[in-house]
Amino acid sequence: MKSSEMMKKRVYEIIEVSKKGDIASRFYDAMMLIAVILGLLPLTMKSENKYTIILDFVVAGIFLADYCLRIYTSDYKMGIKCYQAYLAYAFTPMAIVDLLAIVPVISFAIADPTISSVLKLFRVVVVLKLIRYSKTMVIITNVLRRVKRQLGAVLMITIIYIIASAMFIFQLEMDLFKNFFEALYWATISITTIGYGDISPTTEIGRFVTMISSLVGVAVIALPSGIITAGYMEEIKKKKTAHEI
Amino acid sequence: MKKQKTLISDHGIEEKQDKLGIIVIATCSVLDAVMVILGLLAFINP
Repeated sequence: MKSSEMMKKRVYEIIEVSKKGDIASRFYDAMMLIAVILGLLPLTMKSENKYTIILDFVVAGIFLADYCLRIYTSDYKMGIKCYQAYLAYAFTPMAIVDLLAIVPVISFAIADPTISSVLKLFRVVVVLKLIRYSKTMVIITNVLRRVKRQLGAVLMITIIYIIASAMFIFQLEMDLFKNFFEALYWATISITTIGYGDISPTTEIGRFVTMISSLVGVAVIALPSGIITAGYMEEIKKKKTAHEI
Repeated sequence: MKKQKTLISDHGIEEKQDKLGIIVIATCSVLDAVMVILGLLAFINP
């Protein structure tokens, strides 16, 4: 193996989650964790000061370097030795998260305060970088990937039900809602059984629809937790079986 | 005969010395310290 290839392989080992005995990789992981945690610090403050701005630049620099190194070693990550590996890696969810984590620093270069504050909100995306370093999060991601079809079906049913009940109540209680969006808001708050009570039906038929909505809501909202729990148990079972073999 | 110092990692890489690893450890330590200091300064000077 050429020395440049060996170097690339070592870089890949370091930036990936550390394996037993690899101190350099462990230091790198620790640095990334500290950068993620401190990158979120400005979100806990009402206003920025010069230290948070410097911190933002340091954290963005680390994330940028990390992104570049991940792109550089993507042929190892994807297991293909050609230029397509770089392209394929750039479109993986984690690579997109890595790229979005750098976005908040651009807000300093934009004069428009609205766009700038929206870009700063991308700091929250940084939390997703933690998925890589937590074994439990990896399991949950695998579970979500496995049950995505079932979850998609439940989501579809929920959306259809929300729209249908919003249309129904909008026609029944014309005076109660200013526009259809308010009816959608009411339907969502009812189906999720949150029930703020800021918009409440006054007619008998309207109240009856609310009762039905709340009852259906309990069933529909409970479905995803059951699907995820079943998927989680299956994943744990699979891991245990693999461990025994 | 002089024995050459080798460092064999768990993942099968054999290097004379893990120079890159040492550079990474040093850089990460410095950056960790800088970030923690900046974080503390930002926190106590709101």
